[in-house]
Parts: sequence; structure tokens; C-alpha cells
Amino acid sequence: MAEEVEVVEVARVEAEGAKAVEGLPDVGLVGAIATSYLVEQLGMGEVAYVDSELFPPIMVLHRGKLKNPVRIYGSSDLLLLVSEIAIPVEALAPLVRALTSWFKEKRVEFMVSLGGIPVANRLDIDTPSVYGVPNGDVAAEFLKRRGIEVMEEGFVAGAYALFLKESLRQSMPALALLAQSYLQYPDPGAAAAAIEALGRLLDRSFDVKPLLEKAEEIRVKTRDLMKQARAAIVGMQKPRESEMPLMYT
Amino acid sequence: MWRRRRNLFEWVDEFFERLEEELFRPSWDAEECCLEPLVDVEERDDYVVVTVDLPFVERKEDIKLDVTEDSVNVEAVMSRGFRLDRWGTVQRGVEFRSFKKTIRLPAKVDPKGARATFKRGMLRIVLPKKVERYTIKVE
Repeated sequence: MAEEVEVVEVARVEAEGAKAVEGLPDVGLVGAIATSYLVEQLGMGEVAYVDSELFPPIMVLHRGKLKNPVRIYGSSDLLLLVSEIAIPVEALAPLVRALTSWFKEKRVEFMVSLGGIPVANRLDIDTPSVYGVPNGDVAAEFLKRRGIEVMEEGFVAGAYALFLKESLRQSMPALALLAQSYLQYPDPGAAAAAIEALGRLLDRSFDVKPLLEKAEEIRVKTRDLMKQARAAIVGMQKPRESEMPLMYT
Repeated sequence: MWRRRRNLFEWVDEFFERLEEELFRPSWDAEECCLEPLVDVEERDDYVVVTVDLPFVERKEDIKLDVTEDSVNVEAVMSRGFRLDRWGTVQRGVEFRSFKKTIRLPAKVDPKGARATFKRGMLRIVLPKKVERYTIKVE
């Protein structure tokens, strides 16, 4: 049986020891805004795209060039996954399996998911807090060393939950950085907080000032992607993230 | 029982109709130079909460709200125009200057009791539900 999701390389990828960062459209579009901003800010080039018959039949044009909407950008120490479409729920698991295997094949050191964690009082929060969710001891140590608070209890749902699960299965360290955000509205402020936490984790500094300056423009431009992501969020059982788990250990 | 089932099916149909309508309707109107804002409607026991994301809107004086028993109409003027110079075909080069949307409410409300606040580009409207309540004596 052919693979349901395929990673197609368009440039030579030398990523041994690099970190892979994904930000699929989800709560507040935190990861999607953060990764697309980083691609622009760091001037990274496309190294691969991700294709699947499970994706909607959509291509995107940028500066007159036809592109796949799910792409991987790379430099010697960083791979960034950017998606301009909301991933249908039925495509999530095969997408995560294919990407994790590809990162593993490329000998990536660890994977990071950037996302949002919805909070009801987001409007009253100036600087969103960021929580880390490790998939094991190695990732937990990364977080601890960088002073990023670990989420101790609770459900995680959606793409990053699958990335954490699949990376654990494939023995690859992975973690999610989740910024407090709006659930249903694009949240560039939360994206900036997630990027700063990523900077702490990678021991490098990312300038988020231009992102915050363009916040209103981003909120206008990402309305349609947010609408698509809302439909996917329902299918991912996102509201469960605010529920209490049964077991406390 | 049959009646209840029919109502449930109607509710599900309406939910998907609304979802489809939201997903596939263009979020801009190039003729009127206005954009459709993102909206969230939350129904609680006694009231309905509507939030509207209004980037580029700075002053509450630039927002016009009309409320009926079952709808809210929002019109808001942006502090500066927003132009998409390369994106799309119809909307390319159009300067969008306002937001406009009529929101259908999930329950009948009392428009006179509605209250609205505006903070950081986010409009929040709280609408008390119209309730006819009778106290019944336990015999």
C-alpha cells in the first residue's frame, strides 16, 4: 500500500543534529503564525513539501509560483514545518507518522511543536505564559535547563498531542511549547510568546518586535485560515483540554 | 419521541448549514470595501455572549451595533484602510475600510438589556435571554 502522506524533498537536506519545529494551524493559529514568521525572519528556503490525497485539493501561489500548502523550510540547524491549510482530522495521524519518520531519517536531534492553550481571560493577559509538555525525560531536561514551566497534569489534544505520541513511539525526544491564547481568534501575541520560549530553548534570540507591530495585519489576513482551523479544532476534541483527567499520580 | 428525534435532526442540519455557510462564504466584500470579522457566539443559561475580533478598529465610537430579538448587526470603521496588493484577483488592490456582519443568535434575547465593551480590538456583547418564567406551586 502506498504511503498516505509523502515528504518530497526539493533541495538537499542536511539536518543531522538540527531541531525540527512544527506549527500546524490550531488554537489561536499560534504555531502557524510563529513558524511562518520565523521562516520570513530567518530568510529560510524551502527544502521539502508534504503531499497527501487526504489533504484538500488546494495549491497556493506566492509571487506567481505554484506551491504546496504544507512545506518544510530548512537551514543547517533548524527545520520548520509551515502549513497554509488546516489539516483535516483524518489526515493528522498519517501526516504526523510520515513527518516523524522523515525527521528521524534526517537525524534531527529533537522536535518542538508550537501551539496555543486556550484561556478564557486572554483579553486581560498582557504577556502570555508558555508551558512545556515533554514526551520523556530527555525533553523534560531540556525544559528544566531553560527554565520553562512544565505542564504537570491535563489533557493535550490535536496535532501536537499526536507528535508527542508518535515521537515517543519512534524514540525521538520531542516537546510542545504552548502559549496562553484565544481559542477562536488568531493570536499574534501568543505566537510571539511561543517564539521567545523557543529562543530560550534553543539558546538563541528571535526578534519578535516586527511580529507584534504587524499583529493587526496578521489578524486580518488569517481570518480565513482561522475559520478552517475552527472546524478542525472541533474534530480534534480540543475542548477536552480544559477537562480534568481521571487519574492523579 | 418521534417529535424529539425530528427536532434533533433539525438541530444537526442547522448546525452543519451554519458551519458550511461560515466556512465557504467570502470573508470580504470588494464592492462595499468591507471585511467580515471573526465572531464567536456562546449560549449560557441566562444570556448569550457574542465576541467579535475587530483589528484596526481603535475607538468604540467607530462601532455601530444594532440588536434585535434574534440578531446582532455589527459595523465598525477601521482607523486606516487595509489593502491586499498581491493576494487574489477580485480583492487585489481594494482598500478595505470597515467590518460588517449580521450575527444570528441561538436564542431570543432582550435587546434593551444588552451591554457591550470594547478592549484591545475585541468587542464583547452580553445579551440577556428573553425568558418567560412561571412559578408553579407543588401540590
